[in-house]
Amino acid sequence: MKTRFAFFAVLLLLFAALQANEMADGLANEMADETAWDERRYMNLLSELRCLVCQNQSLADSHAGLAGDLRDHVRRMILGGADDDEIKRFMTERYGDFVLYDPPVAPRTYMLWGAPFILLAMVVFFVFRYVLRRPPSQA
Amino acid sequence: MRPPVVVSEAMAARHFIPLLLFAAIAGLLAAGLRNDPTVVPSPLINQAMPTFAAPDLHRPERSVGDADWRGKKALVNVWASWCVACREEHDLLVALRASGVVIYGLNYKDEREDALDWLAHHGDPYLLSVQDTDGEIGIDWGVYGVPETFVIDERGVIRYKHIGVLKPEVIRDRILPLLQ
Repeated sequence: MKTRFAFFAVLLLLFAALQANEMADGLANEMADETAWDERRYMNLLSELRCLVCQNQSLADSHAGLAGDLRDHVRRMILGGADDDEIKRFMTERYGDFVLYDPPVAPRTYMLWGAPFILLAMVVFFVFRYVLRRPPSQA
Repeated sequence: MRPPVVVSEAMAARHFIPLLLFAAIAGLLAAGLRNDPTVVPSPLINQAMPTFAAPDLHRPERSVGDADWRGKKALVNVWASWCVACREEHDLLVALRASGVVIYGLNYKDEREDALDWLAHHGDPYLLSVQDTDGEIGIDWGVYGVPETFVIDERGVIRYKHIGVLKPEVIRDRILPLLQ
């Protein structure tokens, strides 16, 4: 009888602790949402923009002086209420599509976006032709 | 004796397909190797130069703007006293100025005293110099690696951009024809 009581008490405590933990988490998340929502968007944007000085790094990763200046610009534009497209346009008007890790789909980039599918189609075509042409194996 | 191998013309042609494919891919890659990935083409070519207003390097109480750079075909040279490569092309700029070419200077993220020292030391080829202390004008011009040199026409339209140190061949083949 005693052990059973102890068992329930422990279970209840555990439950209460979990509940409190969850509530604290929820509160923290809410607070973070209020102050850091822009931060998340800011970091997302920075990771989509290429640093022109060290071209294999995004604006988020780069320590180049220019990257710092451009980060300041992005921050100020977000605070000024600019949306992501406006910020990306600001960058491409100055540095071209090259600053975008995701180049836009446009007539001049059809080849870039289409080439993998064309290659895949070619491979499928040749593999099928090869497989179908092979004479049945003589076991 | 082996019988002579009979190869139809169509079959013979087919044997060259892999070779042609190889040649095409090799050609494409060779062309790719010639591209300098550090040179990013500027979207500002054939666009009006960005507007700006900033202090004159020599007389900071006076403001220089894009209107002051209109009216003549000219070079716009982006430089800084901390930029080692700028020293390399500086004598070329001084010589160009001596031969009558109009050059405007954009002093990028520099200390005024250092910039003035540099010009006193190495010669001042610039008809007008503007201070871009925080690099904001540079961002509007798409500057990412000093030195950079733009060619603008008399209407203030950007005609050409060279990234990095100027070379005599670049000046002769690309820049001087645009200034004619």
